[in-house]
Amino acid sequence: MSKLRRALLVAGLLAPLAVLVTGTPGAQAADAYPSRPVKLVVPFPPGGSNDLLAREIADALAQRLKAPFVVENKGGAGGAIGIEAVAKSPADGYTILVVSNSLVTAPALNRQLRFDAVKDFTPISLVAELPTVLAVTPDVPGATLAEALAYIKANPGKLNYASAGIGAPQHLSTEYLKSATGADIVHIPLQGQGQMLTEMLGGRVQLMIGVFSTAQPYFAKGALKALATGGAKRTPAAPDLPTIAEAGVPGYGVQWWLGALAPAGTPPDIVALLNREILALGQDTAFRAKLAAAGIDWVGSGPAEFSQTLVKDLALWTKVVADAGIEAK
Amino acid sequence: MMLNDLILGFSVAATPINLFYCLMGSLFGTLVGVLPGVGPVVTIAVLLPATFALEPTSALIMLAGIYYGAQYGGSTTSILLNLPGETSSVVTCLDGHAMARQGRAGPALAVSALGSFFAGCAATLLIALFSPLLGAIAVRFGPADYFSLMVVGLVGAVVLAQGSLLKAVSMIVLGLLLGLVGTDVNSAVSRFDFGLPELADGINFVVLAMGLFGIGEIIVTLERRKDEEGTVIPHGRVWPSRDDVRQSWKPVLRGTALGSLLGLLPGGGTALASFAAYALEKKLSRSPERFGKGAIEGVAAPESANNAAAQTSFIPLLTLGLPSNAVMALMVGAMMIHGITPGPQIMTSRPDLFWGMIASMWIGNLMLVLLNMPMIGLWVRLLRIPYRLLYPAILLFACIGIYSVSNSAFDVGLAAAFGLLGYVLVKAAFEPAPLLLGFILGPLMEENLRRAMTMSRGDAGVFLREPVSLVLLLLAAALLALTLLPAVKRGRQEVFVE
Repeated sequence: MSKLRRALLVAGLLAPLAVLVTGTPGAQAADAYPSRPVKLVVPFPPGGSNDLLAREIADALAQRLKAPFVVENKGGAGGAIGIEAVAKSPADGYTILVVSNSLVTAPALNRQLRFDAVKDFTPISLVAELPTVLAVTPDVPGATLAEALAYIKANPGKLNYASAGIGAPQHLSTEYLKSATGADIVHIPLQGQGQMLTEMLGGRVQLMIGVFSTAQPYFAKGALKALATGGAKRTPAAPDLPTIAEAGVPGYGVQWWLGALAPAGTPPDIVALLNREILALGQDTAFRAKLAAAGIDWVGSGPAEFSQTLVKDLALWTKVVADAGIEAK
Repeated sequence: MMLNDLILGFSVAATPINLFYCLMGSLFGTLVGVLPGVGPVVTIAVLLPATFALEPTSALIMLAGIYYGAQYGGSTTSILLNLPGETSSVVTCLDGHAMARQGRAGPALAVSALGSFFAGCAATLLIALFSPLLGAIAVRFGPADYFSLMVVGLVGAVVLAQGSLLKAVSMIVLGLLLGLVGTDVNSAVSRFDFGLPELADGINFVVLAMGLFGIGEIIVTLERRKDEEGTVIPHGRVWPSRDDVRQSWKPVLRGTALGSLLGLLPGGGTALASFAAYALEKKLSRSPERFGKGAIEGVAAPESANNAAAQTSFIPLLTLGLPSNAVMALMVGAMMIHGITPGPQIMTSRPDLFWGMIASMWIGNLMLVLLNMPMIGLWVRLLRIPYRLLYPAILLFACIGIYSVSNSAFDVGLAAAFGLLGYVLVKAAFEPAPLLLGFILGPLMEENLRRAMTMSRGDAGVFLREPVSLVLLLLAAALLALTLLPAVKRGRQEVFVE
């Protein structure tokens, strides 16, 4: 009994003290976000478009919001380790995920994952996208995608296509093309776009869907032929190049996006603030020029739009994986 | 045309900032070369995250400087203290330290520095001359050819590995097995990961190298240091006599040629080059009995060879994107961090980086010879830092380096485990170097084997039909036949006895 009373007494004495230390509830809410460093988690090793975009955003937001924004690379398991870490972080706005569409392609591949791409995150903005290109070697006759596809169909199982590995966007996007056109072309999984280009230039692989910017140097010299871009709309980087849909595969369209998300349950005012600040970056021509130089196109969507894209893309990639019969564990 | 390229290279390498990083790299390299137990692999791995903020060209110039700087530094402790700072300077101990005991440490150090300088210059010129050629044919080099090249490398590692053949083979096989951990390239199935997502991408090379070499070496050194601490022998006159020069110029030339060749081959590397050059000089000498007792040829040849190999091992990296040794594998990582994929396209897509790095090698070699000649005394004094102060610092930096690779505490624990393995291996007289070669070459070999098979639609005959692949496989077979010849075996042992 006396123990309990003493405990109550101590608690009673400490209560006002606690209020003193932590401030009144009202004052706490008024504390301007961000009052301490914000962590931008990139689920890949340093280097690459995802990392680069996160670093540009971190620098720009740090200047605008007068608080440190720190990029943390947490690579591994195709992005799963970093994504999962953010999903399990406190939803206080101080841990943000900057990620590519591997957020939705990984679950589409039926990998055993410990996160849910839709339920575990509050989307902030689909910030940017990587323009893609469908390229073939000069050995493939024809100047248009339709002619190239006719040649591929006339030689079923004889040609190869390159990807950056099983489940990589290059792989899934080309499998989508195969399902949509009925083309029979063999997958050669490689490691990264550099190897893809090497095999293409050596003529051992005849087709690829890859990142536009790193393939571009080879188009001018005629070492490779650019036939179409993979997105729903043409890219500003090559306005004369038709989309795959325009070039004869109606309905085709893939978006290799890069977006920012917070853990589910992050206060809506913080999400709104971050979205507003990120969209403001898009108004800055110098910022957009920096991204363009790195082969990244600015998009800048609202949270609701991004949320719809997540659901739509998860369904699309799940169907692509099922249609192509890709098995991955 | 090549002159223009070289001028571009020097204009890039000679900017104040790049000169600074070249000097820093050479300085760091010499420093870690002098310190036993800290090698270029560990140093580059530790400094890798620090290069994120640098321009890629500056970063690579510095990392390259560390690499060839270590080749210079390693000879100093070998000669003065009989303590090889580098595996590639093990051979230098044999005659170098013998010379030092005879009071001829100065000429030994000078010949080693000047021989290295000559080799460095010659090899840099070779890179400038032949890299474009190799680069042009590099895209013709298909998966079948790569596979056969890996076979040559692995067989070569077995044939010329130091000590017991059985132990070398078992180390290579263990390396191959460790290389299999992670996601299978063709099916995306995760292998040997024990359900740990941290292992899904395989074991990081830095983690393995830091554990096996860095942490393992520290444990061994702590145990041994009492009975193996050498005594500093004062070095007399520095400049070699006319006789010394007469005796060493040919070995320097031969060492340079042999080192340049072996540096090119994956699985060759600097340790191999120095050993092969030493063996060659001994075979050619009219008085082989002097070897091991202070023959200056036994210093000049291996020191030139390891430096030449250190330089030319950049050719496969720069033109084929193929790491020929552990340090080059780290250089691949350094390039990827900066969004540069090593490969044949690098010469056309980044000529500033390519030629800048080559020009920096020549500048770095000049810096090194200027650095090493007058500063030998200082390097020796550095060795007097008590090891009890040195090793906690090394350990701390190693942990920071490992953690920063992928912000993973798991990797630090894994490196600690490999450290214990490294200790056990050294105690049981197993060389960890072949393990690392197996670890690097194995996954590449598997990848290219399966890629070649997919491209040929399952026809294994492709390895014999491709001319390059066929030649390489025949070479591998010839190398293997050589090991099986008992005469060669006896020769191998003979060199080691002395």
